[in-house]
Amino acid sequence: MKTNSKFLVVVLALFSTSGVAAQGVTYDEGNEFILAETKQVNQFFRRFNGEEDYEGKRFSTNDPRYQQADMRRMYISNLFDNLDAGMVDSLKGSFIYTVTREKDPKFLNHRRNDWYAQLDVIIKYEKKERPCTLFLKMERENMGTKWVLANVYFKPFITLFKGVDFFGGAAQASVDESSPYLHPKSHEINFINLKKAFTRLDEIEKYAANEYNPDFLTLFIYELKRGNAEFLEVKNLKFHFFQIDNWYFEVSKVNRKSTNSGWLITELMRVAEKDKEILRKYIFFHENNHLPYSP
Amino acid sequence: MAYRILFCLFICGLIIVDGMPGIAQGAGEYFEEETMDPDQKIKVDSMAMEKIRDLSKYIGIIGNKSTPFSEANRVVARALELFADGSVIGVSTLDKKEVKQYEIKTYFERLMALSYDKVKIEWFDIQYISDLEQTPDGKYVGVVTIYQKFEGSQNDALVYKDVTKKDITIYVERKMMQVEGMDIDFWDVLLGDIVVSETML
Repeated sequence: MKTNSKFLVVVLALFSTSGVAAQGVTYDEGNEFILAETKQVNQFFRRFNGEEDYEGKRFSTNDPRYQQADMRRMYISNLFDNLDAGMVDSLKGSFIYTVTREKDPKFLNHRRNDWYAQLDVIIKYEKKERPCTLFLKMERENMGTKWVLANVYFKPFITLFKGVDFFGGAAQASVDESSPYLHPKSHEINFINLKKAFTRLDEIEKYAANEYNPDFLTLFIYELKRGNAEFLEVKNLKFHFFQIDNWYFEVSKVNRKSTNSGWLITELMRVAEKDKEILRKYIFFHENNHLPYSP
Repeated sequence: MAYRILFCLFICGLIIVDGMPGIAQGAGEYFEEETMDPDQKIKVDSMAMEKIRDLSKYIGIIGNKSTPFSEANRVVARALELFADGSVIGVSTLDKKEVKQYEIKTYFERLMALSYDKVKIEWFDIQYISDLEQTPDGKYVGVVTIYQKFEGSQNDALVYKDVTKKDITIYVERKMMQVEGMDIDFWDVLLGDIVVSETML
């Protein structure tokens, strides 16, 4: 009886799209919120894929409910942050249709390297606490998996390399005529002009080869090893998913007294496969995607 | 929303060329992994929950002022045996953004110093047990999420209460022992890092 009533509460909760928080919930009454909350990222994957029941118990692969399309539609509709008016119903509906259609359903797999964790962290750098962003992805080692650092965004590094176009855009394509260079006869003069080149620190990257790319992860590790940077704490965590063809979504933790809480989709975009690499660069390098920095 | 618009504006003005800044990445590579037998997983889950219940019981004893100092120390030692070496506990509250991080032993010592006359710990009857994933060194790791209501009283008056979500790492390792000359293998479960976060509930 207890399980049945819980089941009913959660089914109703999951069908609710309002996501409005109830008021004055007591300890006992709070259970339905816990039940409905997407408590771990693991549960986000399982609900998205339709691999567990309403109480979080995993289905065996022989269970007829395992990855069942109707159940997935219901689950996924409550995996969006329903208070985010920016994700319109038609867009969400189209996404749900794409991933749950009977003919070619799409599932998430955490053992892939095309989803990223974004950690907004605080580091101590030059005696001040400063925001920094780490990006991690999954990697295989032996028979297991692990999270590994994929990229670092740190404003002082970006500022130092302001001459570099991180997105490979028009600025790089049309290198202006006044760009400095070491002329092709420099070898005849023992590269005596190199000293001048190395005083032009603002433009020093322009002396580097075409294939040169600044690697902020290396710089970050270098600064840690030198003792110039010290990791303090994680402030915020979210995830970027590129696994579904022609779609991108972001998953963040929504902490509120509601049946629509926990790890939820907080951004959803149609992105052609050919543009996903640009989006990834945007997320990694564009300052709009990072904590504000004050020197 | 602003994020979407900014990216759309951004993408419109962009010309793609090769040679982007260095990012370690791959195109959706999938990793096969050895998974634990489902029946074995149920047994391991049950062992993990038993250890977490023990931990909860110990916390109740350690935080209670009426527990003699020597008894509290003995219980701390028992509680520490539940954990893998080097485990830490991170505590966050709703009003402060800062996450305090303690070594497990320090956390228990702080709990002893709180000295409530009475500590009441109630479990919500819901928990969530993740899948177990294999780590590079051949162990398995999972996370168990539980919800607890904590009430601390002094002089019969409730002085502190909260409802917290506890995300508890569990490590599972296959070990071998000899019993009467025979090799017996068994699964050993240890608790690891814990994140305690105050909830809105």
